[in-house]
Formats: sequence, structure tokens, C-alpha cells
Amino acid sequence: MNCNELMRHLNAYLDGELPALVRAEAKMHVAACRSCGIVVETCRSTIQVYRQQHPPLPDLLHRKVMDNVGRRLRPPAAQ
Amino acid sequence: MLQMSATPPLIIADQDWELVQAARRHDLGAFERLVRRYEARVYRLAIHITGNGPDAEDIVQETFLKAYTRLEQFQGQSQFYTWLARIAVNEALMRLRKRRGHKEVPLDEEVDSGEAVAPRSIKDWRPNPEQQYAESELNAILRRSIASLSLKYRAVFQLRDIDELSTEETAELLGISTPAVKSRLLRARLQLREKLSRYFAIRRQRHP
Repeated sequence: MNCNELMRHLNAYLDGELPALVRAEAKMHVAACRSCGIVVETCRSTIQVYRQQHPPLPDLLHRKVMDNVGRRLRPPAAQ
Repeated sequence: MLQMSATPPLIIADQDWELVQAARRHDLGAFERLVRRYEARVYRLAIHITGNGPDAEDIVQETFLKAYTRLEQFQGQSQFYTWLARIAVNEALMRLRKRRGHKEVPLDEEVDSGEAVAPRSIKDWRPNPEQQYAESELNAILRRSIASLSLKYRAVFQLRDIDELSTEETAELLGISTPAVKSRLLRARLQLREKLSRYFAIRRQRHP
């Protein structure tokens, strides 16, 4: 496998969706080619860092959500 | 009206199913537990797709309100979060359309922009790059980076890679084909890693 072929298979490689034989070829290329190795690793890190981070929830947001739902629960006469 | 069975469909987590059933009987405490479980994820989805904090807050409120009023429609054919994400994405797209003065949000365009797929930056990253930044700084970097992608790329990255929806679920939710999800995901991943490389790559030592 060469660099262009690896790029074509990159998604499936990252997602573990390649057939065993193609995966083995890709793995060999990644181990031998520094550039492709870096691209694979930094793509993995990109996904991981986004998965792990949550922007802080604004302080009052939870309360606002529940107030909205609570208002919906009240019978029309009480609104 | 469709009756919900007492046994959860195989696909949905038992705990969610029990809470959904209780919430349908107007048990506000049960619904609040669902809100607590998923509000941070819905907020992250909304802020990544709109790139705007106040819009994201409105989307979270609207999403849970709509979810509550439409609980009857949730049949457990998907995870509860996937169902919430669908509502949140629709809200987000609606807001983006409003913000653009009713111009069509180009989410479904199949023609790619022709941006290069070939990676440009080939630099190693520091080990645990996220630990090099304070929490708030890191959040700002991630938010800025994803916001600078085209909507069609950031929506796919959000749903596939961050929220871990399947290719098929993502395609269905965004109304695009599965090949389009795959090609956009590749571009999104490569573009985002380029952007993050600016912050996370090992800097070259300067020699005098």
C-alpha cells in the first residue's frame, strides 16, 4: 500500500472497518511511513480530544429547561 | 395512538426507557434525570453546529421542551440521545437559516468544494496535547477550530465522531447519502487535525 491508497482508506482504517487483509497492509504502511503514521495518530487524537471535552454548561441553563417544561405541565387555568 | 410496550426495544438503554416511560406519565423528576443525562451533550452539539453560545442555549431549551411534548412519538427505535440530536440539529439549522436571512443552509449540497484531501501539516503532536492548555483555553481552541469548518463538515464530524452516531444514522438525520457522510467525514477529520496542529504540534527548536 502507498500513501495515496492509505488516504483513500483512512476513514475505514481509523474506524476499524477495513477487511483483515487490507487492514494488515495499511498497518504495515503506517508503521513504515512516518508521514502517514503522524496523520493517523493526529487524526485519532483530534477525534479523542473532541469526544472528551464538554463546553461548560451555562449556570442557569438547566433551571431554564426545567422551568419551561414545568410551565408546559401546568393546566391551562393555572397559566 | 401507538402504545409503548413495557419491555424496552433492544436498541435503547433500559434506564433511558424506564425514565421515558415515567416522564410520559408526567413524572417531572424522571424527565429531569434525562435532561441531566443529556443536556451537556445537546449543548455541545448545538454550540458546535451554530458556533454561538446564546443560540446554543436556546436550542437546548427548545430541544428538551419539544422532546417532552413529543415523548409519545419516541418509539425506542433509536437511542434516546439520537432522537434528541435529531430535534437539536433541526433547531440549529433553523436558527442558522434565520441568521442568514432565510438563505438556504448548504447542508445538502453534494458537490464538494474541492478542498485538498491531502494532509499538509506533518508534525508530531506533543504527548497529551490537551493537558498543555487550561480547560477554558482548550474549550476555546476546540470551539474556534470546529466553527471554522463549513457547516456540512462540522455537522458530520459532530454526529459521527463526537456523538458516535453511525454513518447511516448521520446520513438519515442530515438528509444526505452515506457516501456523502463518508467523504465529508474524511475532509472534516483532515481539516480539523490541520487546525489543531497549530496548537498541539511539537514546535521546532530554534538553533542559533
